[in-house]
Amino acid sequence: MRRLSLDAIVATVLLIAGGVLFWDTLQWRHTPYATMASSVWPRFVLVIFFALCAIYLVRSLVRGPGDEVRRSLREWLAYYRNPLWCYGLFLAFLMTLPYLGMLVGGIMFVWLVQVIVGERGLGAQVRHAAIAVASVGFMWLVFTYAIGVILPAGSLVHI
Amino acid sequence: MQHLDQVFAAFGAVLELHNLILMTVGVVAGLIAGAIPGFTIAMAIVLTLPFTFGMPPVQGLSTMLGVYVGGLSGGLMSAILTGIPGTPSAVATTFDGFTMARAGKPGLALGIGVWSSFFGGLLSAALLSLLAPQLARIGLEFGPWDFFSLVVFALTIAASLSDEDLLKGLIAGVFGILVACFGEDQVNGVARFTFGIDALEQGFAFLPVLVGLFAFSQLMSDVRDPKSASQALAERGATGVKIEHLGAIKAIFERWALWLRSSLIGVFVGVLPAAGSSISNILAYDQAKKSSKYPEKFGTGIPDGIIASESANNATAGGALITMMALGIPGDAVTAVMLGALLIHNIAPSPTFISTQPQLAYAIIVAFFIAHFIMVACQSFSLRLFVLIMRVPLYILAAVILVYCAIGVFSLNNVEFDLWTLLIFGAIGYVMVRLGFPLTPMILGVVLGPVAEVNLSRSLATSNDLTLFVTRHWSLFFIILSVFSLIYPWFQRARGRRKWTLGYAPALCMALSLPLFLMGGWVRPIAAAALLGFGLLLLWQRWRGGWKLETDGATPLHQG
Repeated sequence: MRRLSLDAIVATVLLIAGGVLFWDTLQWRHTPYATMASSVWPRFVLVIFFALCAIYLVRSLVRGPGDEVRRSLREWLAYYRNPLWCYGLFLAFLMTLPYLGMLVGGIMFVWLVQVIVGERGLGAQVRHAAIAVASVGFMWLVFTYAIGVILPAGSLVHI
Repeated sequence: MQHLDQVFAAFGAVLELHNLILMTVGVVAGLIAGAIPGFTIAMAIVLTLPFTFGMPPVQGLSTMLGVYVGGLSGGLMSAILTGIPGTPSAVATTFDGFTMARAGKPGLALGIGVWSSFFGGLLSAALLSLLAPQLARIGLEFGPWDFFSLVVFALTIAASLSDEDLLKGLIAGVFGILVACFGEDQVNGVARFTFGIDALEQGFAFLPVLVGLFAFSQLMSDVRDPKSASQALAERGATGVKIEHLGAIKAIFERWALWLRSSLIGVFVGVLPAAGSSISNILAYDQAKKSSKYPEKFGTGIPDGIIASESANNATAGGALITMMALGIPGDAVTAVMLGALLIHNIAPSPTFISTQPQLAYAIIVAFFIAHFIMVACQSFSLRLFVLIMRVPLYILAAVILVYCAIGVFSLNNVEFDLWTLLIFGAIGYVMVRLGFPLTPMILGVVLGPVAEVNLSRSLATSNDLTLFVTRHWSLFFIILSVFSLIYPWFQRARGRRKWTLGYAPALCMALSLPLFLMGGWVRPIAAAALLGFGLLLLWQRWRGGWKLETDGATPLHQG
């Protein structure tokens, strides 16, 4: 069996996503007073989206995978290691934000990104920690005291 | 007389000491942000935005314009010293700038870049002050049908210019419009695409979406390769440099025609909705090479290449501001952020903006003008700062900037959901770039989608007659432009190889002359006649030439 190209997979995912969105438009409240119902514009856009994605799918199937690089899961994870860690750490930063707050959470995030993506060794870790504290601490002070923005405080650390 | 009073009042407001200090800080911040590869001007403006909340509009906008101008000029520092363009608007600067620096003249290369940016910016500021009020006057003639068609044109041209793959550009643009549909509908107040999630009822805020798409995803691309993420930029090129000013000014004056043409190309590209300085610098470089007496020397480190690229990219900013101020349509991704910033300051650019808020409108023009003088004054100082920053590995900068983006995004609305928006669109942007989808059409889709919907709704409320979209003159004008911009990628690919491409330009001229003729008065029919005549002349020339294809000596843009 012929291998599907990445583009074909993407086109299929987009078509499914478009289908889900279209299904959602059927659930919306009807407004009899409106000149143009709220669903008209999104549906119009979705029809164009479907048409474009269908062309994209057909084109991908016709062209085939070509010389696309095929990676095993292990290779793929190794290739995207740094972005995956960064996204994961940012997700963790957001999930712990109510507990750690912007200051402590931000410092932890900056430090961990440097630890994982950057140089190893004890000296480097101390430098990374200093950079994290100084950079996030400085910005936190500027926003909190100079601009007057109340940044989220953590329930565990109260700052 | 009243017009002059407003201009003087604007000068007075912008030239206040406090404002000048803020602008200087903005320019330096922009220069540094623009100089660091991977950190975009849009990112710098978004980070500056929270600092401007408490300022009066003139001060806030002046500061952000300082960042904008600084960012455009900052890209040349790393392009010339390291060979990596700091921003996409300095890509063509590397071709001759880096080569000249490697040949032992980094100071002259920097000087030519700085002064070309300065002169290009001044010309566009002059055109901005002349053309924006005129375009706004034309904009007053627009009805909802015309605005809708203008948005369609902006999206199609963004899709066709942003990448070689038109289809992916169009999908990205339409996807952006869909993203803008999330949340409460502006017209009827119905919650859309919420999937039962309360936070989605407000929809995705525009600026977090933009920072996610442009900044977050870009930072992830920067750290993807472990080797380059750990590398400091200073390892790549010359750093201890002094800018040569006099030699640079002399070199530009000797090539004034090249500077003028490149600046005009920059302004023209800027005026086009959705086409930014990332396109204009390449286009100006290409035109400079084609019209040069010594095209073979391009890429070997000649001043012409730097002048073309740098004067065009700064001039584009003036052009983009013309469209933004006169019509409320962003000229590129950076002006899309500026538009968002204006809305946060409760200013909504539209055709009536210049007439209803003249002092603010002129203050924008004056601040843009003054920012170029500050940019030249700050270059030497910024260069020293840049050299220091160049010693920091990219992964450290990326980690710190990510948290700064988060703090900046949170402070826009004080809503935690905006941080989730940042993460979601950071991931979407990264995936899109990896899959070859351009981001600019998506951004424009997000910005212009609601404009299109509101105008479609207004047009249907006014009349059920859909033929108005093709019978109204301006609407027809934009629809013709949309059709031709959709064909443009095929035209580019087939140019010099297929005979039908010989008819593209004449057909465009003749087609555009029709709505212009119908507009009445005497100026526009004359312009239409000129356009028609030009189209017919092109057609006649090509018929006389036996429909022979021009190979136009297609040389690669950059060799080496």
